[in-house]
Amino acid sequence: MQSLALYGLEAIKANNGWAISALGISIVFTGLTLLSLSISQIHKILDFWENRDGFFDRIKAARKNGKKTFPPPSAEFKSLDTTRTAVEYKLLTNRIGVPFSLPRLLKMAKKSGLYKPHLSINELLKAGLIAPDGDGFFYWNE
Amino acid sequence: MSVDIKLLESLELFGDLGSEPLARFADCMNRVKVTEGEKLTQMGNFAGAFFVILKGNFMVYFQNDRALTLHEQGEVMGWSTLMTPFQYVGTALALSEGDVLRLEGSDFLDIIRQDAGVGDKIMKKLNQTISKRTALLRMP
Repeated sequence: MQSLALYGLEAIKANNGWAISALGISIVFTGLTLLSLSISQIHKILDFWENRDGFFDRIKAARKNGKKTFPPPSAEFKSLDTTRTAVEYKLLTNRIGVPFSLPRLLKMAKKSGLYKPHLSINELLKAGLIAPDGDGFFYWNE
Repeated sequence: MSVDIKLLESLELFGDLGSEPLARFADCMNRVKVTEGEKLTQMGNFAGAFFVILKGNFMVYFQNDRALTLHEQGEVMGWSTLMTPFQYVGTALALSEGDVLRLEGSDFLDIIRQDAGVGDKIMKKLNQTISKRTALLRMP
């Protein structure tokens, strides 16, 4: 009786060894490629995580702009209502506390996407609604 | 470049300097328009220029988040141009459109070095401003 046992290259060929090897190499190579691509993009994920507050603020601002909460950019500032501006800025100072830092208020107004924050704060100062406390901070003068 | 001497005479800082020093200042200065949100000085940067407000509204703020606002003609920004280490200690920001007089720090120093009397008068006038702002700067 003749033995059917195969060895070496013949055994590989007989059991689709070459095809299985090629498939295995392809799977490993694809996996390594995906892994290297993921690692190369980690810095973007970390950047996003570190600046997540700014990202959410931008989304909120974009939503507000979409709802046309603010006048169109071409509108003159004088058309803004100082009382309404004061209400918007009071909401921000509620989060900072009183007396508040003017540069911090400006930064928050910018982040929130409020219309012309420099001019708005200037109008509030000129109207006497915001006043300096003499120590470098400001308070609502009402 | 150069500005009207009469304009300089009308400013408290330069008012009693005499015609010759005034002419030198006038030659070195230029009138600059600023826009809302424009930064004239940036804390920590080399103090290269001194500014005198002609028109507009400005905020100067410091590292401790304290600030003061300037609205009057003749008020100044960038006094660090006159003192070592020639580094701005505050950031000056325009809250509205305006006009300022800009004087390069090197020109300013040249003028007051050439005439000690002028330097003395200028520094006496700036002393109160510097004291007030330094006090804010040193607060926690």
